[in-house]
Amino acid sequence: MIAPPFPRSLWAETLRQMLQKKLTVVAMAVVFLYTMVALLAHWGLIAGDWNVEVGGSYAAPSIQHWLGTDIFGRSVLAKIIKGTEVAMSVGFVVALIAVTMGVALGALAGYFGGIVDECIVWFYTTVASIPNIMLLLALTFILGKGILSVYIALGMTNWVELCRLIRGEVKRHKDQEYVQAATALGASHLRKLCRHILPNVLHIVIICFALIFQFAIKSEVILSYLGLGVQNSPSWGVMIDDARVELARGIWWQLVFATLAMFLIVLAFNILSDALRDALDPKLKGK
Amino acid sequence: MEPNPPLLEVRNLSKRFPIRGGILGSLVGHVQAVDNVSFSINKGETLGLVGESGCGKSTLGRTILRLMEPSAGQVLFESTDITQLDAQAMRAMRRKMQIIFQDPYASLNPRMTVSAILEEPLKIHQLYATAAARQQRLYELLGYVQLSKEALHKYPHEFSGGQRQRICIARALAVCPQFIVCDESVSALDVSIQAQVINLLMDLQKELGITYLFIAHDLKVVEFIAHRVAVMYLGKIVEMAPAQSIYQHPCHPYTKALLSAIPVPDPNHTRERIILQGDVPSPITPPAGCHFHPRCWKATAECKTMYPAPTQHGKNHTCCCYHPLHEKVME
Repeated sequence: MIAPPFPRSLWAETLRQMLQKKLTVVAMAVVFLYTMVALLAHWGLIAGDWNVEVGGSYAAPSIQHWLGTDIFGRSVLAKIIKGTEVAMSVGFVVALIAVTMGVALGALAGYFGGIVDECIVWFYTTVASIPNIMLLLALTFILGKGILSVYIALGMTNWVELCRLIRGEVKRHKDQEYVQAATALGASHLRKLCRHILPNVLHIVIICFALIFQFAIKSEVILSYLGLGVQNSPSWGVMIDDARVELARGIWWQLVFATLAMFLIVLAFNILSDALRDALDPKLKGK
Repeated sequence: MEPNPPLLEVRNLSKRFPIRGGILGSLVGHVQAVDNVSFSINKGETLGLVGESGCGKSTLGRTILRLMEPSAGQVLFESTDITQLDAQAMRAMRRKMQIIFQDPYASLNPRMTVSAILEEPLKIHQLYATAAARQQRLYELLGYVQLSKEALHKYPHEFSGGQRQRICIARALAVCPQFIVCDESVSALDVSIQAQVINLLMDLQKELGITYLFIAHDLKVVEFIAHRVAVMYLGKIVEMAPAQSIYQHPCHPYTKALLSAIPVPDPNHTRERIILQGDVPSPITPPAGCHFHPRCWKATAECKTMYPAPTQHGKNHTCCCYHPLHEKVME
């Protein structure tokens, strides 16, 4: 075996391992593609004209209209691209909110224990005991319809799992000898938590980030389908909702392509999080 | 011969762990891990602390450094009672006392480079003003433990057990401590590496005048490094004496039994082998009187009533036993 020319951190090693599998590379490419499409749509470089009538009402997929048109003659392709922006932003923002809450509360509970732990555990068991869909509905009713309330509602309902995991891991790590050594050296609580413990549980955070991301995309579609999601902007959920009346008339393209768009990104994220878990979890090494 | 006060003095130190049980988590008992232990260590000395697994050696070591809060008693370092110090003062005190752990794999953060690991103590205590001065100190530390400069940019997983333990030693040395607790620091290493690390520790003691509390379950290793030896059984120190004295004339039956377990590298050697009956009793409900009496071949009715007071059996040789194997140890 040839020694690496420079020492590899565990992260570099993880990336190298992930790049060895073709399927993972494809999944990464899909996620990258969706991100680029979402960004370009956000800056108005593509699909800025999704609201423009380009053909007749309900034109079937053809050379002119690749994915067909909707009731107002708008391009389904442009709507799906614009919907990608909504889906990716929901995924990202929700995952960010959930991860921030989960990590912060989980780390505090696990590290300090005692009364802090009891309060946080009480809080998340309370949240977890309410059926998720009810909480979602209640929150969107309170906050009003719109993308902001989708962010907050999904963010508030998805952090519990991660919080629980982080709490357990931090509890396990804080009694490890490398943390005790830091105590003996006079390190502050903040230093021990941020410099020592959190980097060692970061792999869980990354995996959960990917899982919450795809779950949020699915949930946004469901919320939009229920009429509680984004307003005045195409979303995959709204398109699937439209299909309720269209399908009876044999118009299948909105439903199929919107579902396909969602299916691809959710699948890619699932493959990616599996690969991340394989590469990052030391317990699975060599299996 | 002791004009100066000892560097470290432990007075009546106890550490109890509460046991909670039942649905409501009510207190059902205590584990008495360290029970009323007193001893002192002079500057530049090595005190070996030996005993079976679970007898409270490591807890004692950690309680002295306040990695665990003591339940009772005092720890005097340079005549300052560190158990009373507030967080601020304790942080400053930590510069003077360090620890090296047993497991060189668990005691280094896998996500940090050696450079980051060794630099951390310097940053915490703001020991050097410039990055260049810190770098210089890192090279100096690597020199102490005989590692090359290239080691700085590597991660712990790229080193062997012995090398990792030397990184741990370098980290402990970073703050120029006067006192280091070696908590089974060589137990996890191969015998050849053990010798290497022990020689390193002894060289450092000569060079830097460091005082050690050397915790181990291997009496052979302790004999080599320690000036004095304390034997611990079930949270109490049963015998303490200069190394030579304890190895040649053990007074406590337990010490004698431990010594008889040391393997001798001579196939023709025959000797009296004492095999203790039974297990170590639970520290939750230690036996009344002398904790060792259920396993002791010299036990009498007297041993079951009261814990024996320490008695002198020679110069600095104390033993807690009603029936010591030697009444008077000749020098």
